[in-house]
Amino acid sequence: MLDTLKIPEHHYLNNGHGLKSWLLTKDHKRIAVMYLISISVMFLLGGLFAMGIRLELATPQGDFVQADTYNKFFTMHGVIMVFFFLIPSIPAVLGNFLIPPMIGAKDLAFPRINLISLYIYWIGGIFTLSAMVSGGVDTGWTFYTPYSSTASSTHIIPTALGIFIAGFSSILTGLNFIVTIHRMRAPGMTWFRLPLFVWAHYATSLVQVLGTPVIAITIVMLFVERAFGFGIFDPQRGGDPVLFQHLFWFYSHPAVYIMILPALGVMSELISTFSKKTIFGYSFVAFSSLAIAVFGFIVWAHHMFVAGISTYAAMVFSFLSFSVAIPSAVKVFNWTATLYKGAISFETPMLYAYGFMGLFLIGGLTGLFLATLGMDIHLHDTYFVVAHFHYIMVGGAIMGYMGGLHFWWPKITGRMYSEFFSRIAAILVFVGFNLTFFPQFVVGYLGMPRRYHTYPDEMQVLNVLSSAGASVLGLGYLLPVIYLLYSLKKGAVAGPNPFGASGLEWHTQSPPLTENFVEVPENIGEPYEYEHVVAKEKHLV
Amino acid sequence: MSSGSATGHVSPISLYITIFLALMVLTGVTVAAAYVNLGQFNFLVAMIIAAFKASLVIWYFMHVKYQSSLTKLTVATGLFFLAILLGMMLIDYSSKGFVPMLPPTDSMGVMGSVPAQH
Amino acid sequence: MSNAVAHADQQHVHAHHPALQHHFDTMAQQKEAAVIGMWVFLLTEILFFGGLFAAYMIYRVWYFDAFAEASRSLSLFWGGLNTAVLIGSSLTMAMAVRAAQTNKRSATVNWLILTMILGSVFLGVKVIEYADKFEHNHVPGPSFVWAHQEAPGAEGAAAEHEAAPTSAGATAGGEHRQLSLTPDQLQRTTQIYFSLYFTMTGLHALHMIIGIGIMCVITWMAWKGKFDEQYYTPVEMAGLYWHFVDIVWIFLFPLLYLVERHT
Repeated sequence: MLDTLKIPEHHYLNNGHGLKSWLLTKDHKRIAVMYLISISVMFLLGGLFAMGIRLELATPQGDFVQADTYNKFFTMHGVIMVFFFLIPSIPAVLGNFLIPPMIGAKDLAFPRINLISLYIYWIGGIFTLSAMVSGGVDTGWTFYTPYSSTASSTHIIPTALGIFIAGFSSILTGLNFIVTIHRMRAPGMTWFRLPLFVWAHYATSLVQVLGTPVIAITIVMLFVERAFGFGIFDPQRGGDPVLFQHLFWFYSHPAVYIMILPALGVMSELISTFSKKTIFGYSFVAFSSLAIAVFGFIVWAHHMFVAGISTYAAMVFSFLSFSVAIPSAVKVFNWTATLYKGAISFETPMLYAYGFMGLFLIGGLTGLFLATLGMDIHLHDTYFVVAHFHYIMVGGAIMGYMGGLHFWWPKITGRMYSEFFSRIAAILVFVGFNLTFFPQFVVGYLGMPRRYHTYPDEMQVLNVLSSAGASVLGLGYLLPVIYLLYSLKKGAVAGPNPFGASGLEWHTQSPPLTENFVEVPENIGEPYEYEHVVAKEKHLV
Repeated sequence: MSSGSATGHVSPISLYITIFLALMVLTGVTVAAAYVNLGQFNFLVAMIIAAFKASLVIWYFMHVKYQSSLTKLTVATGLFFLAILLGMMLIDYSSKGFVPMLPPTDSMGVMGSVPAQH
Repeated sequence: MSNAVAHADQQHVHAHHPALQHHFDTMAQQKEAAVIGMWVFLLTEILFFGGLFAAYMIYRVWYFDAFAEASRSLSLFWGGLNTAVLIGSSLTMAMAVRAAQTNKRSATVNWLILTMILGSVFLGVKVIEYADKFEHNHVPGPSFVWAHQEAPGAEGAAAEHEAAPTSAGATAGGEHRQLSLTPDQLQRTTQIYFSLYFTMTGLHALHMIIGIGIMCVITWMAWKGKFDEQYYTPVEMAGLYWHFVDIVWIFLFPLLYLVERHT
């Protein structure tokens, strides 16, 4: 380890000072940092609502808040976490920051559109938050009609408009990534030399671009129904509430793949780096990302098994839902094979990766339970579903995000955080997560419905465990805020490649220059060439 | 990465005029066909003509004929996923026999008589 | 491999087109990226309108009688005229792009202005049509009133009909088609047709307004001489957008105006 590492004199963070240089920037890295701050605020808000939910559910009676208020809690928790945290998280922060250096480019294809996507995200957030402040929405994040179109008297229009606007941000990010990855790769950076992180974001971008418009039009239809009294979903006039659900889930199922695919990309980077081994089955992992993206579009009605679709349609969608598990399994097998006989270590990013593998596995397998028609009749709208998607979204996606954030933090800031506290936080997250959500599988199976603020007395023990776990989990998420911010000033200087990782982003200074590279990289080798990197590191000492 | 001139293919004016006239004629055909009773096929005929008109616009007015394979692939992808949206929704509705959720025939504000679903 | 601590030299010694952005290597790469980016955006528009087409598809089959009656109440004259106007504006837009490609500044401006005029004519006709709907209380909502128009020979001629249609849809071969909806149901479900009519044409009109706005900016840029044969990308982008709006109408016209016109 070199003792004479210093923060470079010129980098993207000190290239221009003042608010204008940030708000009018075209630098993808600065935009990524602004996204980081924004989604962290949203995560905190969504977490507060989660706290409200778990506080209420610590006791069987409805004694903390009234039913209507509780409905608003879980609605806002879902809306904020899905649309304003999870969907942007990895792509807008890590993707924006890393894709250009990873492919050897100076910026994304459309830097100004990147900035606009950030503004649009803020505007959407303002709409939704103002609706929240003036009373919120109680329909659940799924906005099912006819309750949302006709009966509910809450602030649906501004909330929905906020989601509509934020959707544009998602579309523009995806659009930018697709064009960038196709047309901005450095000479010699062929498709099969790309880091798997890039493949994952390419697949994610396809989903963002093709799926988001459908929820946008669904929101438009909801809007005209509420605002003008049109009757597209009104049963009184022959409208079909199931049509809303078809259109809603056509996006919202692929949306969950928007949330998990980037995390799967992060995983490939972490596992190869911290086992000092090239990813086993690179092309299988790359193509599995594409397969997940495409398959994700043909399974949506598994959310509607008991909503009134035909048995025939249910069978078709059930079968397809089983098949979408296959590419995910391919990834898990390939990571496991990568770990085998690798030089495994336990730095914080890798702790998150280990946690991811176990929790994603459980979440994914429980998805198969739900895809089974007979079981779903029993499990639909119970806490089993809630546990399933939190295992994927939190145990999977958020752990991927945290692992990635910890892995690339030295690159983004030039500083190392406290490895001691970061490991503690990772363990707290893992323990707290399981304590929160595993009991939910059990109570769900026992029949506890979701979206109710009361439940039978005999389920209290499990609910208390869950609420207790939520506190631990919250603490685990709070710690990184402290030690990461602390590292900005007091952290050890990281140097270009503190983890000995491969990838073009590690061949630049930390933090990088505004234009990423002084010269466009040449001699691009195969991805994850770890023998080469280890040897090089040894020569540096 | 593409090299070469940024100008792109310049189509002759006569081509544009031809396409325009074709589109106008096809519009006329569409209207005329609507007045002929073809039963269920009226819809199909109208959609086929419309699709052909759209193809002319895409291929010639939007220059896709002269663009890279990536551009052509992009167009095809959009149409493919639209087909998935429409087609897979039809799986559900057609297997329910297109039995509508008719509004109630009485004037009471009830939720309506929902036909038995299976 | 540069682990750069040295500050990059920002001076550009080579001459390049003033419109070349610095993260691109060539104008051709920049243009290609723009074209693909625009097409990806148009993909989103395909899926955006696609949701409305999906809703239309289902309800047309379910409530064909209502759709047919409501469609017949639309003015074929105005709809046909608008279709011709919009196709014409596509021609003028293609000519504008061509003029920009061949570095003809005033021709570009003129063709763009002509396109905007035709687009405004389209919108003007839509205003006429919408006003007519308002007058007849055909706007869905609390004020909706539908006077059920008896299609000639439709309702009373059930006796001659072989098959009683259990699902909606015109059966082949008869002007005397038995309706599958009661008059009351017909009244209510025509609201669904008009809900879709207004949403689809309204969304389309909104896209046209935005397109005209974009064209104002592009026309000003063209007039200022910002385009040449190496850089006319904004004109081409506007063209792609405008042609797409035309394509949407190419589908909307038969779907909305030409349902069972033969009765």
